[in-house]
This record gives sequence, structure tokens and C-alpha cells, in this order.
Amino acid sequence: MLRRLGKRGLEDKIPFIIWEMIVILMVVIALTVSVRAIANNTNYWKKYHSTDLALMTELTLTNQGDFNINYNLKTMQKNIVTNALHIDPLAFQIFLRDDAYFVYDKSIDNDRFPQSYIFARDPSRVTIVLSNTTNDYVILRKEGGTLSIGEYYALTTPACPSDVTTGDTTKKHFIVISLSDITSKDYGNYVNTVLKRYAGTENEMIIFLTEDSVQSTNVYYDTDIPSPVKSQKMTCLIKKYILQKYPDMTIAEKPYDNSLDNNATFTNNKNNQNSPYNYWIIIQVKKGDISNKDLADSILSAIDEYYK
Amino acid sequence: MIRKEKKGQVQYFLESAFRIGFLMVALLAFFLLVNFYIVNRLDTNRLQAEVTANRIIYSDAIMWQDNSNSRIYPGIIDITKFNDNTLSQRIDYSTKSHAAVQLTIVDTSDGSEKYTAYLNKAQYEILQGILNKQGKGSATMYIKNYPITYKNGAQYSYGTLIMNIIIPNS
Repeated sequence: MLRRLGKRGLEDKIPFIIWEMIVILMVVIALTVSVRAIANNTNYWKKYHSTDLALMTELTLTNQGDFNINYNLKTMQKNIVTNALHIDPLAFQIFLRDDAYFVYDKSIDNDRFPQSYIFARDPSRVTIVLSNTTNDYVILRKEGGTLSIGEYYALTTPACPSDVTTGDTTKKHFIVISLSDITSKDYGNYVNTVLKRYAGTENEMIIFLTEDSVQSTNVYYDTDIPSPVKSQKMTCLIKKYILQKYPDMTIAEKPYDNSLDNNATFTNNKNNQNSPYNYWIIIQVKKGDISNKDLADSILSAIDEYYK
Repeated sequence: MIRKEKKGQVQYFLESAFRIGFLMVALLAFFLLVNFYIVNRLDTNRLQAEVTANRIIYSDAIMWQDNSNSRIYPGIIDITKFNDNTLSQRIDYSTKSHAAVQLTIVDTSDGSEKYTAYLNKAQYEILQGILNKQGKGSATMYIKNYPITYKNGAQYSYGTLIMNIIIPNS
């Protein structure tokens, strides 16, 4: 077919070459537009995040405990391709509603296709706090009886066991026993005075106080009782309230490690069958770390929250 | 442009038709390939079924809970809680057109069905009619079996919990 080799033949091909160039240009434009439309379509990621968050929420509602889940949303780095094709970075706005997650583009007014996914509530135990966030880093938080989402915050307070420990404090009796030197006795006397407000007859808790000049402040919980989590909850709450007053302090919360088994006062009182208490805890205070008043206040606040 | 002969025009047209046809086929193949590699469908039905099953088996919705220490015993079903009402209160889908579950306790000793309860019973009955079909508007059933102990008062018996979980296809 292509038998013409002279100049006349070349002239014949020029219109076809021009036409081909136009077609190629149209194809390139069509492809670019289509790729840009696909890349800018955020529906997939909106559906992905709403489903993911809703299913995770269901799992947190399965458990009685507290959760803080750090959830990193899909992000897109700017590069030469995204700049050339005007592909927008991914940015979402997430709403937690009573029974579902709704995910919008960050420019919510222009988003005609928000995505949502429902989860099964447990209204008898957990209240959903209607909340939203625009951050790339979402915190799903289930604390106490509430569930919410928010942006990152430094977790400064420990999450304590959420076992039901409701009780009437006016019927309870608490006692503080000092195990070591004068400073410990000083702490003990002060706290005992404060705890006299609980003048009930039910022997509830013994707080063993010991003071140590080398180690950091520690709180130990009783592991001998059938439900150690009750003792653990109290130590955790005391730790929480001490940390509120002394945010920079390091406090270790541990199961009892038998380190005081040689202390006669400790063993006699914890095993006292004549006047048994439901559980005990140990607070080992580093010398000079906490004032008498702050320790007493922390114990009082912990007792209030524990039996609320 | 200068050529006027009819023979040349016919030859030129045939050449162009072949080229255009080939270009169209190549373009079509290209777009098909691009679309083939774009994943825009999320299939979370099986995951939803697993989550719902775990919600039932590990929460205190129907499982026995020791009130003295709040501990839940997954695998020990408290028959006093094994009913539609408790399930719908503790696993509350506000939109009833979501997951639906039939739970049956089969006694190990004689193989008989002892108790049956539903999560979203009305939805379960609707979805049963559209099982094993394709596409939106249909539903998929997942069946899970768990060896359990069921507690009726002070009596404990061995059994199997059969969960028929139906998830609408979306």
C-alpha cells in the first residue's frame, strides 16, 4: 500500500499525521482526566474508615474495660505527580453519632457523598458522646461509661479496671497501718485521722504505708483474694489521683511481690482472722515525694470514685 | 490535499479505517486494564459476621457474669438472659436492616434443640428469603458453632451454640 516514496507521497501523509497527533492529544487528555477523577474520588477511603471505625467500636463494646485506640487515617504525600495532576491530599471529617460513623471530606459543604457505617450500641452500659474530628490521627476512647472520638491527647491518667464496686461508704471501715519509720508513721497518722469519717462497721480495706528512701513510689495490690481486680482498682485510682497532683512523678503499680513478708506487722495484720478485711493495698512512698495532705486527699478521692 | 485521483482516495480511506479501528481496540483494552486494577469495593460481610459472633460470645449479653467480681465467663450461657429481648437491648442495631442472627443451643447428650433466640428476628426472617443470590439486595449466611456450657439455675449442661448469621450484601 505504501508505494509512494517521492515528495508527493510525503505531502499526502501530512494531514493524516496531524490528525493522528490530535487523536493522541485527545487520548492523553482523556486518560489524565480519568486518572485525576479516580485519584480524587475519596468515596473508597470514606467507606473504608467508617467501616473500620464502626467494627472496632463494636469490639470495644464487647469488653467491659476501658480503651484508647489510636487510629491513623490514610494520608497522601504530595509529589510531582499529584502536583501535576492537581490531585488533592486526603482529608476527612469524622462524626461519631449515636449509632454510626459518618465520614465526610474535610470540605464538608461540598461533599455530596458522605459514607457511613452503623454499629450495635449497648445503651445500658455505654453512652455515646456525639463528637467529631478533622485530624489525621483519631483517638477512639471508651472510658468509664462513655465512648467518644477526638484528637490526640497525652494520656496522663491511668485507665483503671472498670469493675462494678459500688457501695455505701458510710458502712465501710478503712484502716491505715504504718510499716516502717517515723515518716511512715507520720503519713499513717495523718491519713488515719482523715479516714475516720468512714465510721462504718464493715471491715473493708487495710492500707499499709511504708516509706522508702531509695526506690520510687510504688503501689501494690492484694493478689491473695478471689478477685484481685478490686484491690488493683483501688491502687490504680490512688495512683491516678496522686499523678493528678504530681504529674511528673513515676509511680509503679504492681501485684504484691512478697517483699514485705518478713515484716511482722504486715503479715500479722493481713492474716488477722479475728478482724478480717476484704482486701488490702500497700503504698510505698519515696521519702519527700508526697505531702501528708496530698496523700490523704488522693486516698479520699480514690475511695469516693471506687464506691460511687 | 493535492491528490485528486479516486484510486488514491479509496486506498487512503482503507488505510485510515484500519488505523482508527486498531486505535479504538487499543484504547478500549487500556481503559479495561486500568479499571480492572482499581479496587473500589469493600467486602466486609465476613468480617461483620465475625465481629457480631464475637460480640455475642465474649460480652455479657447472654454469657454468665459473676456479680461478685463482674467477671464474664465466655462459653457459659446464662439461660435467663438467652432471649430476644436481652439480645436486642445489649446488641442494639438502631437500623434493623443490618446483621441478624439466629442462636440455637443444641444439647450434647441427646442432640435436641433446647433453646432458640434471635438478634433482629424480623430482619432474620426477611433475609432468609433472599439468601444465596448475587448482588445488592441479597444476603449471605455464615454459620458458626461453639461448644458451650449452658447454665439453667444451678444446673450446668454441655451443648453447642449454633449461630446462623445473615449479613445483607451491599
